[in-house]
Amino acid sequence: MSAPVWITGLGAVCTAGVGAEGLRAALYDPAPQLNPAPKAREGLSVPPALVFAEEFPAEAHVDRRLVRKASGLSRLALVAVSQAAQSAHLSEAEREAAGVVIGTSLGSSDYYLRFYEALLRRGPKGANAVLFTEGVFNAPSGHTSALLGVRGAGHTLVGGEEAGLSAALLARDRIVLGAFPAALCGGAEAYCDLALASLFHEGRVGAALGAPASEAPGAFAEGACALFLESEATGRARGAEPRALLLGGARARGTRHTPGPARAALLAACAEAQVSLADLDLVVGGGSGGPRSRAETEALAGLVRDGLRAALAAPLAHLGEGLAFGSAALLGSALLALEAQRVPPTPGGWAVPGLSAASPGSLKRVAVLATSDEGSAVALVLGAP
Amino acid sequence: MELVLTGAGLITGLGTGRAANWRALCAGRTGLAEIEGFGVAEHPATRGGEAAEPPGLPADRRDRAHALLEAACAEALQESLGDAFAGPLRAPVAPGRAALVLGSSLAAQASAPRFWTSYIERGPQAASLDDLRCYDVEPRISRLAVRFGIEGESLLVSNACAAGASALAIAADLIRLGRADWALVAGYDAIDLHTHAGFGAIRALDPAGPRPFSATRGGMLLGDGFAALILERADLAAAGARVPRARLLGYGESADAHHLTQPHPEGQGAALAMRRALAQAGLEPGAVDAINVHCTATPTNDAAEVAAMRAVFGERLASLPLQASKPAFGHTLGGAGAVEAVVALGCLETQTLPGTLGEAETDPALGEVRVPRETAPATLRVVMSNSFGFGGCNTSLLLGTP
Repeated sequence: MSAPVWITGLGAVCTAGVGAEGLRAALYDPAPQLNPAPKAREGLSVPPALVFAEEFPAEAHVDRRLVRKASGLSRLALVAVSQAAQSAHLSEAEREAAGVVIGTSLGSSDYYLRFYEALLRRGPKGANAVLFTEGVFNAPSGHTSALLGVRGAGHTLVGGEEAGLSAALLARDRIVLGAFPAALCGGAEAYCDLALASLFHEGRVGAALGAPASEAPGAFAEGACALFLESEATGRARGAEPRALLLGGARARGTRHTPGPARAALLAACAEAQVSLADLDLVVGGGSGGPRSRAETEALAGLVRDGLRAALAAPLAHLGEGLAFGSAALLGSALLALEAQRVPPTPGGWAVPGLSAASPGSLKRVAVLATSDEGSAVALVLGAP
Repeated sequence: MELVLTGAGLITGLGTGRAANWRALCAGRTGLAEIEGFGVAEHPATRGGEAAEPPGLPADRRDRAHALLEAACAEALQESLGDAFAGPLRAPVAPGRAALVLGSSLAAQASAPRFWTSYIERGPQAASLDDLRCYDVEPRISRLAVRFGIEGESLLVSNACAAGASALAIAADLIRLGRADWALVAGYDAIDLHTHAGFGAIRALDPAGPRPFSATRGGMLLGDGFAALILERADLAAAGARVPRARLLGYGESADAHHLTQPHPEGQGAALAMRRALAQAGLEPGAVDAINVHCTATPTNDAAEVAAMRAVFGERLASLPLQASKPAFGHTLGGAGAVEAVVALGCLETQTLPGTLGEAETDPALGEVRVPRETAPATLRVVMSNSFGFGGCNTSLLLGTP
C-alpha cells in the first residue's frame, strides 16, 4: 500500500448554500428547494431542478475581475476550489506546487451551444471569442490555475456521473507518484436549459427528488464540490492536520446498468487500500434512483456475500442528480460523515438485503462509490485520521 | 518499471494509416486543402486538414469522428498484435487489467450543428434533443471499451491541445501504480465548424497556412487528428511476443498559472514540463537528440516555446533539430499530443527526422534555432514531444529507442 494521501480542505457550492457548511446543511438538515421552472428558451420545456434562480453570484466570493466573463461552470468551480484552498490554509508557495483536477460531464455546454447558435444564425461574424474559449471543457481548470497560481498541472476529466470522483482519484494517483505534492480536485456542473431538456428526454434525470429505490432518477442539480489533497510529507512539513485519509481507489467499466463495474471498482479500491470489505463502516453512493441505483444496490447485495457489513448513505437523494458535481459531493459527504461520526440520512432509506441501515458505533473506514449511466464505476476508500 | 509502445494507429488529413502518414510526412507533403466537409465560404480561412471519410458513413456524417477514432485504435491494436494476427482485436490481457485513456479537447461534439440547424430553420419543436447527446462522451468511451475488450480503468482527459499527450502520461501512471498492465491510449479531435470558427474568432488562424518559427508567421490551420498507441509493461509485451517499438522514458506536466488562452510569455510553464519529463526519465538535457515541437506558428506561442526550450537546453538549442508537424497535419487540437507522439515513434523506428514545411529562414527575434526543412537520416535515441494548450496545460513526453 502506498502512503495515505491526506484530505485537508473542502469547498462546495450548491443550492443549499456555499462552503462546507452548505454541503453539511444539505446532508444533515435537508430542505431541498427545487426550482419549479428554471429559465429556458422559449418553447423549450425543462423539468424542475436544483438550480439557482439567477446566475450564481461568484463575485461575492472571488475576485470580480476573474469571473466577469466566466461561464456558469467556471464560476461554480472557481468558488468551490477557492474555498477548498482557504479551508486548507494554504500559503501562496503551497498553492503554486499543487495541481488541479476538475471533473465534469456537461462542461460549459451553455456557452458551447450558445456559440453554435450565434454562429449558425449570423455566420462567422456571430462567432464569439469568449463563448468559444469559455466553452472548452478545461476552462475551469485554467481559471483555477490562474486565480490561485497553481502550477503543478491542470487536468480536466470528462465523463459520466462518476467524473468528479474520478478527478479525485487522478489527483490522488499523481500525488502518490510524486507528480505534484498536493492538488485541488473535484467536480462541477452548471445548468444549461438545452442540456437539461436532453438529459430529461434520455431519462438520465427526473422531475422530482429521488431516492435509491425510486423508479426514476432524481432531479438535476448544479453545483461544485472540491477538496484539497496532499501527501503526508507535505502536510506534516507545513503543519497541517488531516481531516481524513485517502487510502486507495480504482475505476472499472462494464455493461451499463449492471452490477459488475461497481463491484469490480469497490473490490479493487479495497485491495489497494488494504482494507477488507468487513472493515468498511459506511458506503456512500447510490445515485438518486433509476437503473443506476438499482445496479449499485445489486452490486452491494452481492458484496454482502463477500463480507460487506457497512451502513449505507445515498446523499444525492438530497443533493440532486448532480452528475460530476454529484460524485464529487459524495466524497465531500464521506469526509463530513467521518468528521461528524454520523451517517447522513437517506430519504426512505437504502434497502440492500443483508445490510442494516443502522449507524455503526464509530466510522473509521468509508467507501465512496460512483457509477455512470454508461457502465463506468469509481470507488475510493477513506479512513479516519 | 519499463513501459513500451507496441503499436500505433494514425488518421489525419495527410493520410489514413500510420504508414501512409509517415511516407507523406517524410515526402514533404501537406494534408491542408480546401475544406469540403462543412461550409467555410464566408470564413477568412478556408483550408484545413480533413481526413478521408470512413467507409459506411451516413450522409449526415453522424459519428464520423468516432468512426475515425475507432479505426485508429484498431490499427494500433493490429500492429501491436502483429500483422499475422487474424482474431478479434481485443486487449491481450485480462479485461480488468486493460485500460482505455482518451485525450480530446472537444470530444468531437459533432451533432450540435444538426440540432441548431433544425432549431433555427424550423423552430424548437422540430429540433431533436437526441442530437444534443453530442455533449455526452461517455457512450463513446463505453463503445470503444466494449469493442476492444477493456473492463479496467477508463477515462477521458480534456487538457485542451495537450490532451493527447496527457492521456499517454495518465496511462503510464495507471500501469506504474499496478492498476493496469496494458493501455489503449488515443488522442483525437475533428476539424468542424465549431473549432474552425472558434479559432477564427480568436484570430489564431492564418489563411496562408502555418509558417513555423518564421518572422512572418501568423497562426495555424486546423486538421483532423486521430492517433492511438498501445502502452504496456515491457516484460508482459516480451512474454506476449509483442514488439517494442519505442520506450516511454518519462513525462512532465505543468500549468502556466497565467491566462486562459495565452502562454506565459517566457514559457515558464512549458520549461517546467520539459524539466519534469527529464527528471522523471533520469536524463540530462544533453541526452535529447531531437524535439517534436508544439509550434502552432502564432507569434506569441512560438516565441514562448523557443524561450522555454532555451531555458532548458541553453546554447545547445541552436544545434538541436526541431521538427514541427502541424504544417503537414494542421493543428489537431486534443489529438496533437498523440499524433505527434506517433511521429516521434516513427522518428525513432526509422532513425529519420522528417523535414518541417514552411519558410527557410527563421525569425531572428527568436534567436538561433535549427529547423531542418528536408527529411534526413538522423541518429536518434531520445526524442522529446511537447504539447501545450488552452488553460496553460503543458505536457512533455520523452520517447526512446527500445
